[in-house]
Amino acid sequence: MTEVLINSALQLVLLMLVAPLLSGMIKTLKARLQTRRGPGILQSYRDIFKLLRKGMVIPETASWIFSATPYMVFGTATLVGLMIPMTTTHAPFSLFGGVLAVVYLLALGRFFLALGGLDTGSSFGGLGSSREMTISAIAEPAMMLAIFTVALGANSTNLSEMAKVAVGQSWRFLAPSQMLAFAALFIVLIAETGRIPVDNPATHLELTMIHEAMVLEYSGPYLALIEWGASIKQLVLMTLLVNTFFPFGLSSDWTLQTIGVGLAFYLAKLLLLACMIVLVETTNAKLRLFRVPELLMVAFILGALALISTFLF
Amino acid sequence: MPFVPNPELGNRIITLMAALVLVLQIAAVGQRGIVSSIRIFAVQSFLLGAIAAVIAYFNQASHIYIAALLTVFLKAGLLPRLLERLVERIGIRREIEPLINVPLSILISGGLTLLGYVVAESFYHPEETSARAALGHNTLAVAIALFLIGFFVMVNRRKALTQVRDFIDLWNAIGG
Amino acid sequence: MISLPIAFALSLAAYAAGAFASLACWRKPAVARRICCSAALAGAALGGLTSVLAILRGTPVAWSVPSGIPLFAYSFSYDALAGFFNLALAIPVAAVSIYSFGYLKEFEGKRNIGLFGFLFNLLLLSLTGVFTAANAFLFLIAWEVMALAAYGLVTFYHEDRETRRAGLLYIIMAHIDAGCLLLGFALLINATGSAEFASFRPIAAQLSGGQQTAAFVLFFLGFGIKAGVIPFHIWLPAAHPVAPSNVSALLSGIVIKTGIYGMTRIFLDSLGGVPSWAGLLVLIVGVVSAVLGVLYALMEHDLKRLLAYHSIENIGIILMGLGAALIFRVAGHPTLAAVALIAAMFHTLNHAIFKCLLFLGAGSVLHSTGTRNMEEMGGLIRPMPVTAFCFLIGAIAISGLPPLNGFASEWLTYQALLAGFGAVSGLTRILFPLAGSMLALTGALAAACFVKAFAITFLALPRAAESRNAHEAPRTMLIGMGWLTLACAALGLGVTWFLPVFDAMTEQLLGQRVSAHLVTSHGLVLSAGMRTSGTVSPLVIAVGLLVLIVPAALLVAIGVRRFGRKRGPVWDCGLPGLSEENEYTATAFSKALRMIFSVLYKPRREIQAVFDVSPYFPKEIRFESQIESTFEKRLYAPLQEFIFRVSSRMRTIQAGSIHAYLAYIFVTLVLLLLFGVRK
Repeated sequence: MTEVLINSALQLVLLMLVAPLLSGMIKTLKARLQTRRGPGILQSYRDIFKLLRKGMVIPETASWIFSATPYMVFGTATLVGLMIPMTTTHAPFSLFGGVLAVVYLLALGRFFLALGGLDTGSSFGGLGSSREMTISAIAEPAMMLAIFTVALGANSTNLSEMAKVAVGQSWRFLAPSQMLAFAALFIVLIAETGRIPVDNPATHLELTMIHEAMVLEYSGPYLALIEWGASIKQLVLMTLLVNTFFPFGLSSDWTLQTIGVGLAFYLAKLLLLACMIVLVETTNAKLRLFRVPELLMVAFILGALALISTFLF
Repeated sequence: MPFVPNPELGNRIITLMAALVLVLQIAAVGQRGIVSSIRIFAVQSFLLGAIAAVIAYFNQASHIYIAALLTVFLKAGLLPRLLERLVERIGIRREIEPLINVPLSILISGGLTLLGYVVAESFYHPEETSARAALGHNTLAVAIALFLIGFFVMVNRRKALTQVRDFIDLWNAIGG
Repeated sequence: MISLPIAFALSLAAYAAGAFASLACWRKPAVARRICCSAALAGAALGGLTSVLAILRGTPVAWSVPSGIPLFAYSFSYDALAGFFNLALAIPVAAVSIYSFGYLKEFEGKRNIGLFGFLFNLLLLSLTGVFTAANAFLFLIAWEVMALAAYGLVTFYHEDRETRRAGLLYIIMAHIDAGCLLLGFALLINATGSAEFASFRPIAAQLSGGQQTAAFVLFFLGFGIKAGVIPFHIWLPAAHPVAPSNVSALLSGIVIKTGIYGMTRIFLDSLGGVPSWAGLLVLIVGVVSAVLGVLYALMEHDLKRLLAYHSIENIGIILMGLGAALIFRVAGHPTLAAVALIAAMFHTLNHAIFKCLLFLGAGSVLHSTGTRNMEEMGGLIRPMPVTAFCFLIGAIAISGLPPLNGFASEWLTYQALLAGFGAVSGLTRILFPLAGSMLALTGALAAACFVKAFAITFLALPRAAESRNAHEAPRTMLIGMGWLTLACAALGLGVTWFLPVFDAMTEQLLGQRVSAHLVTSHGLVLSAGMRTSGTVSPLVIAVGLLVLIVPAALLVAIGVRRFGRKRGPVWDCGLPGLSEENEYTATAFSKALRMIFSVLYKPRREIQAVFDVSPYFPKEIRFESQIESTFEKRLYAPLQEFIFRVSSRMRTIQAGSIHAYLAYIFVTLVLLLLFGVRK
């Protein structure tokens, strides 16, 4: 019991600290690749800190749903973070929720975010909510198929079990099923975290924004919570990808040395995945909204192929 | 004693590449632009050549190297260049709109792949449990799937004809 | 100590007394209303008690009173399955009865509450009968009474043309399904020579392949129509919304579940399993119903029709579990079959609870605003805070989001489907994860749909005068909803303590008691039964969320105290103020999905602009949008045409001459006599 609490506390600290760093890193890398100077990698921390020290304006038309939303977004993202193995194969909350709970808790956060967007009565909020729910709905089956491929291989939906099985079979990621599932999940990651070519995190143009449109009316500490929650969600999804497909550096025991090695490997893997995202973001243009289903359909078929090849290849 | 490569590793690489070819084929279904379509074809051909090379390496059959070289040179190099030049001369930048919309065609391609596996399953002999038989089984499934998807693309839009012809040829070679 | 048969008899008596007493008091509406609701409440309480006794007892209690008519006897069997469905009946009925105290008040002086009370209690009586009858004919009588009572309640607002049409459609479909069941039972009775359910069991294995197929098809059609599976669903979204809201809640919550009960009873109990292709068919029909049900729900802006389509979706989810259970049973995995059956039955109960809750919420909104059209609602969270909260809980539960009960049963369904991949060989096993991914699609679309339903109804600004002048529902209605809200939370958070309820049922049907395998870590954690297969704990999730939210709330509170918080106008792009006309509507919200799934919807729209000077400054814009109802157009319209054509041919037989008719009767009599002599 105390062990679970200590582990949770450690992982919580890690989540809260690494998530903004990762967002900042992606921003900086992207700027460098586009030969801009860009903000420093610590910018996301500064943003959150600044927003926490700002006054808040709440729309006159909003109800208590508007105020509940930031907490739900932040709470679900951090709770999900405790269910995912980060530096060792053991996640503190893996007993209390596996990969299905992860997907559904993130959906709970999104449910409230969409309600918060509609609560103000602003058309921007409605537009964002409508698009967000649409895209996430068609991303869901692809995500599940890819996850099932891994879960069926590990005979478990428990993320720690999945990581342990992955550690046991090194070079497994060379198997076609793993590669296809990774590709499918990568596309889903792009869609779920609102990145180009699905959404543009850096725009405030009404025709193109999705996530930004939903949170347009939020300000001050509420916005800080939502942004922080969003970056934690991004970290969680990226962790899911790197640790289930490339389990290097994960060990099952919990000593200072393994944590150190695990952390170093973990950060390196995240950096590599961030580079991939940055490459995709820089080399692609944003898709029209009605082209996004095509992309997600590709992800779905990739997931299905991954599944077929698990028991044929 | 010459270096004998581990055939298990070879099989793994071949199945991986076969899967990649399949993925590219599905990506080609999703493409609207004709130029990117040709480029996907080029990458695919390159991969096919690479597969041939891997087969040659792991089976130490040097005559297959020739086939591999020819594939890479002709299909990944010459043919795409010719096609691109042709496109430029005719001046079409966009593929004509496909008859069936893209998400549905991708879904159909997925179904066709499944069909490919079903057909390959019927050729499967459980008594042949060697790695080689499994490999043949898988590549056969991929070959059938590629053939079916290629055919479907050909029905769906008329300009992809040349692509398809080549696939049939090549996969017959690999399958044999 | 009250015994099971006595409690059961008392609950039947309470319903019967309520039915006739309220009919007798039809001239005194206030008395009739109180009799109707208290009798239903008493019946539900006693029925609930009976089911608890049955579940605790574990072994079936059966009694039979001969009727003197061959093949027919008043046989009842109160076993674990009957007990579970009676529990699923009692919980929502208790809520609906309390709710009706307030809801029926507006009928006083306008409508015949006596008649309503009669039909309402008769419906409950017949439902109890359906769940406990152990004789095929008794079952069919209860089934038919249920259909007729429901018809009376559906057409309660009979002066409306739409209502009459819906009622007609309902009664036609109800008779097709009763006909299928009659044929199905006739087949079994022919094989056994007895109409008792108990006599079917030993003979089931001796049926020939053709007979088994015929029995399965007939029962699946009969029960499928009642459950509203696609493509036999068309009556459901027509009939459920037009009934009074408390009746809609019962219809969607529990009456359609008689179809699920019937399938479970016949396929798993009487027939002792069906061939694996049949199980596969159930699974596939479930997937299709779930996905199409939610897709059609998304396009609705009539709040009650939207909920009715979600019933189709949830029946689909239940059938996924049931289909998996049937397949596993044939494949020789009774433990897995038990897990799948628990998933299906648990979702049946959960859907009964949250669908009732949502319909009651919709009823409160309708009661207060007088409209079912969501485009005229908005901002109701302010005048109706309690209703809004209950509806929100129902919406989260039906979307399958943690930590409520919908999540728990969908989680079990996922686990059952995933286990199917390892349990079945051959290419069919690919269907299980695919069904799982379709379940994910269904869940995500349902969440989108309930974001729409809740936000357009309760949030932002009111869109019409009715919503501006809305008021909160009377207290009894709120208590009814509150009870179901509590049930949603309790069954979600306390799922591990509820699971032993299923033990007696799975033991009876599959010979397995699995609840102990599904719970680990001192009852805190729900597990999927296998050693490593996956665990979840809705309770810890709920507590964890609270624990994580508290520091965040403190952080915000400190910020607000130091740097202030004020109310301000919404960003309106510099235009003169935000009004309800700028708001997103239900139609606009679902536009993206309408475009993406246009293959299915075939949307058609028409825009007309009226302008004086320039088209850039229109005075008036009319927008019309419509989707094609594929099943009505492609399946039912040709069928209808065919029937009309056949009937117009038959018209020559029915010439209107009394002599001809007498001759028909005579010929029939002679033929029947000859047939009898031959035997």
